[in-house]
Amino acid sequence: MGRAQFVIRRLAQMIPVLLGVTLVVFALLQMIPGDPAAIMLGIHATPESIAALRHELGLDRPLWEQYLRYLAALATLDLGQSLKFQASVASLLGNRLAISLQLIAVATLLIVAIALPLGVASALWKDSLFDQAVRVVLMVTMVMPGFWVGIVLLTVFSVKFGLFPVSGAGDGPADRLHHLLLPALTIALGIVPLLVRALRTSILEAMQADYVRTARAKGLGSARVVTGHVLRNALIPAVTLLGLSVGYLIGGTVVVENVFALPGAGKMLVDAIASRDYPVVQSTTLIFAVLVILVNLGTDLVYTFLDPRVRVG
Amino acid sequence: MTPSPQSDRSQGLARLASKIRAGSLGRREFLLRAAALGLTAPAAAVMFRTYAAAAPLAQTAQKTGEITVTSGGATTTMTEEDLAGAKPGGTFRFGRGSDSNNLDPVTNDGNVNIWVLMNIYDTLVRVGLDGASLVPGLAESWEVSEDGKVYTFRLRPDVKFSDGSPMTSKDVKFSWVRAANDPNQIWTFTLTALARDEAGQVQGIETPDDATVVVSLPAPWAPFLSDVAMFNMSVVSEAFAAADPDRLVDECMGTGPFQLKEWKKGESITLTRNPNFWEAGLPYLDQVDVLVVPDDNARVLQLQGGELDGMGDVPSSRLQELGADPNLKVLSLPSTLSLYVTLNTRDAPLDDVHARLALQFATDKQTLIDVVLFGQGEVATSFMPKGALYWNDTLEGFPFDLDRAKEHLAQSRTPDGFEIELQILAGSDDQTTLATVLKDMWSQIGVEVTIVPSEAGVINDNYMSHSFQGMVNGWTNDIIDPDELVSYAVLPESSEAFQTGWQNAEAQDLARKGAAELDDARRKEIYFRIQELYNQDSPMILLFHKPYIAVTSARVHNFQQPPTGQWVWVKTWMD
Repeated sequence: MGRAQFVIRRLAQMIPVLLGVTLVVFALLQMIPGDPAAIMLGIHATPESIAALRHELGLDRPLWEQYLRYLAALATLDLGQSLKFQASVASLLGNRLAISLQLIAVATLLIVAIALPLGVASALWKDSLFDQAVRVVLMVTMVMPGFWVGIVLLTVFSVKFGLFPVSGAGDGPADRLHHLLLPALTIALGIVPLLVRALRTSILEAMQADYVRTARAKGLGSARVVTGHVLRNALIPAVTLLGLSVGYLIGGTVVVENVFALPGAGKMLVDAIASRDYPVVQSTTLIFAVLVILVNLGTDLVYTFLDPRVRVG
Repeated sequence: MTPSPQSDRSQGLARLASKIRAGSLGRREFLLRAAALGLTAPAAAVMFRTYAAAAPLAQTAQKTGEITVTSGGATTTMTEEDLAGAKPGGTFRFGRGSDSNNLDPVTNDGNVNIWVLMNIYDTLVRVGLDGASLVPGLAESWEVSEDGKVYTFRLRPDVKFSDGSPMTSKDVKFSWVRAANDPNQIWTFTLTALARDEAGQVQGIETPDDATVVVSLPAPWAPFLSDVAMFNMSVVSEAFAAADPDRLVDECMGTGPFQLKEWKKGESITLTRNPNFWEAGLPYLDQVDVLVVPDDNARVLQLQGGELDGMGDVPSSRLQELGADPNLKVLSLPSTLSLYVTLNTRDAPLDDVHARLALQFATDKQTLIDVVLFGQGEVATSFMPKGALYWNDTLEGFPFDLDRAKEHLAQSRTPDGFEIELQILAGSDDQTTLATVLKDMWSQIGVEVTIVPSEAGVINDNYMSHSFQGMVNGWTNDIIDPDELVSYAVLPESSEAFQTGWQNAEAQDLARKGAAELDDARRKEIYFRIQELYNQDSPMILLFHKPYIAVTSARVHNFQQPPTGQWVWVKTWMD
């Protein structure tokens, strides 16, 4: 089947997956202790006032009814009303989602920009001082928690050298990029080590292959061998890893949004869970799920460009 | 304006009131003259207390609770406002950990909103900076009837909202009725003293003219003036809000020193000076930017780097470092913030008073202060905040004494010790340290503590359903009157005595009497006795009082935070 058909089929398959996601999230939220009305009203709440608020918010309706109402609203693209903020989830998410998405995009670009050359170089200069140094540094950034890496970057590049702003999301595309670079770098440094190792291994493996010897025998220079033949094969495992890392990327935004004071969707999700703001949690998780599915779809499509042997469907 | 039959007496009282405020009339003389005007002793006492507490306004300094300021390693004490050299202008950039979500004085849900909106709105009566007195706000004077049921407030003339429209008594009535009418709002519990009809709608608030508000209560209620000073009784413009009160969540129209210019949700709130503010020459600042910086370390970095001029939500572990910096000032402000371990007295082993007293004496509170708060705090000898109105200064409290602790344990039903679960808020460094130290301390008398960190929603649930044995809790007063805390901690209605389930008939009876008693001396006796009883039965382990901590640049002066907690920027100025 053609690529277009493949994409359409995968998008259709997305629907039952998303339904499953909403059901699981809804069920989990109902199972954990903590009542949104009680949390909103605080310690002076009386049982009567809590009951009244629950009724007002529709929380005393049977669970299946609440779930179906949510789905019905979703069908009209209504993401629900925040319990805490008395505003539509869509309006709360709007700008924040844009910031999170931009953060993820910049992080992905940085990952590719850093991992690719480092991976290739590590493979080609295998076991050199450079290779060892890269391995050590990347081990540190992979193992240390994200907020530590973020604070270190902040302290060195923002406070000490004044090269980057300390927080906030900035205004306008150039300013926004300036603000997002350090946070994106923080996230990227968590994933880059894995990719570099994967690339290094798969390049080294590919270099042993017969077709490489043939290419060299044909008289092709080293650079041409690497870029023309080795890389396209070696990239496949790396791309797989990158696709799988999207989940981590999205999780990383939550930590990084906190450290760098970025008003993004990740932070909003964590706050919403703490205050049991069900509609916000459900809808935000749903959007993240859509994101992950689309990225996986994209990854599969990328394979077809990388390796003509891979057929869709 | 038709002269009322009371007008002669009212005028006489008003004259006396202004003399008290000016300090030219002593208490004894006042009582004699008040009696001559037909005022009974209790009402006169209340009147004297409230008027004598009133300070003259604007640029003259007011006494504050003792504030310590640490800069460059040296500590000084501030007991008066720092107004010398005050100059107008400047933008104050203030960082805090989370954003507000609702700036409506009536429907907001906590400090994160209250501490900001109190700079935009005013109340008729204000809390003095010492946290134990009431001073005029939008009302320049008030009188209380002899039976304590009728309050007459005279509004300050020529007060305008920030859009230039005049404030009248109608706005006050609108705001107060709105604050009190919905029984399911968070803060309505402070206004149960107002008269209501069968439908629960507020009655008894009259506006005989644009400058007068008269409130008639069904029964005397001593905390009423304190309730009027609370943020939910802020005066909102009726013209602005009546048609759509929900707009007050995101938009403001008040008479306070600042107005809301812009609110980028999750990022920042921009306040600009109110050009129509009724205190001449104030505020000094042109603008306040309240910025959200969720991560503690990032906030500190920004302050140190000069991107912020001040910050709240200061992590205790950085205090020493910040205090040593000569470009910064660490302010330690007296508060009503107290921490306790609430005990569930309904079930064994904590239903036994000796077991509870054993825990009290086994707790070394000073060590806790040194380890958890890095020295910034005071030992609690009462469940009421230190220095608050009617705080019992004669109580010994519970000095750390392992022998006495063991004696009490020996007298209990579990002389060989027992096991308890201590619930704390997960992710709170302070509470984790606190619980760990307590576990160690109590193990010395054979009490095994299991620390259970739980997330906020779970803690809330367990608290409200009293499914806990011990839990770390705190309190800040919303009003200066002791009734708020005492009702919450002693009475069974709705709070079940701070969820401890404590039942003491004498204490409950006194708590109810204290709210209705108008005589100052008798009230003091009542509340002193309640605190004694509380310590005798010890339903909560008293830990410590924690001051409010704020750090500002050395260029910032008069960053104020009275014991009731809100940030006060009206007289803040920058070099």
